Amino acid sequence: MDPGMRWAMRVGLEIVTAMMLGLGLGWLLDRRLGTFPWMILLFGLFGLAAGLVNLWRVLAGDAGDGDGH
Amino acid sequence: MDIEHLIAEFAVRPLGELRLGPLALPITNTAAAEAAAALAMFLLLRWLARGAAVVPDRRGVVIEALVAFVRWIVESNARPEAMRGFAWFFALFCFVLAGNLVGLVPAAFAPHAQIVTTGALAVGVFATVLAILLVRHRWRFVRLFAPRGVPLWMLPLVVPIEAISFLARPITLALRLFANMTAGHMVLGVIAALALAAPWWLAWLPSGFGVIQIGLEALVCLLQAYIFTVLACVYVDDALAGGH
Repeated sequence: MDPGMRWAMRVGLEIVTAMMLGLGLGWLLDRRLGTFPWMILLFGLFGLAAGLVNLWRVLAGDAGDGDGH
Repeated sequence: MDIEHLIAEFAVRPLGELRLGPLALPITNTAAAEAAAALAMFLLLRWLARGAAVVPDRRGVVIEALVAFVRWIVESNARPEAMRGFAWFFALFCFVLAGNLVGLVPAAFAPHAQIVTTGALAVGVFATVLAILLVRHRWRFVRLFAPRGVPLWMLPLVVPIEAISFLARPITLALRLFANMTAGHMVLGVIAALALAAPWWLAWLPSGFGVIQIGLEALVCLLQAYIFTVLACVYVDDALAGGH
């Protein structure tokens, strides 16, 4: 697939879902540990980063040629 | 025109019940539409496959083109090893395509405009990826969340990011198909509502747009089935890549 197409189809959704997942995990951890704002903030940032990572992986074409792993 | 009218077409209703001993499984319109789509696709493929020969007839040409298309998807998005699972990718593509297209049949229900259906498909892809990782690395596959060559002090940063990116993929897979199908059917619903509301001398305009939109939707159905398969390829490829 043409890289521009990939970008157009993934950019928003990828970041939003990863960030929601991070925020959800952070919220659960906060509820468990009673550290209210901190885990949700931390994991929200983790989620944002994870979304960017996923986006970058697919945009980079052949996702992970076994090099990073 | 109220919103409830527009989303009524997505309402899941039980049609009957399947009794299996103590279990009573409700058969909803979603399940019925999906089963009908799968059966129709199965019968179509069976019928087309009868034309396959050394010198194929017209039916044979169609199924050869379909197989070549999915083959091209797998070969251009995953390492050659993934071709061992070609039947799985082909089934996935045909199933998603059938489920997408059945929603365009007038008065039929759109099964892929339901997050449960697309979610179940994504869980299937995720389970396959997980199975590949488990068979290859046992439980040590969680080590892939800590890529080699990353300094130790960065691990608390890298591991959660890798884990979240791994878990987010099936969610995006499900959401993309669901959102595209739902949006398309809503647009069709709005156009149909406009056509009904328009005075008789103007009704041709929204009706004409509706015809164009159905053609566009058919294209979207094919495109979304293609994208779903491409992304499944990318995920499987990633699982195969781990541990090199």
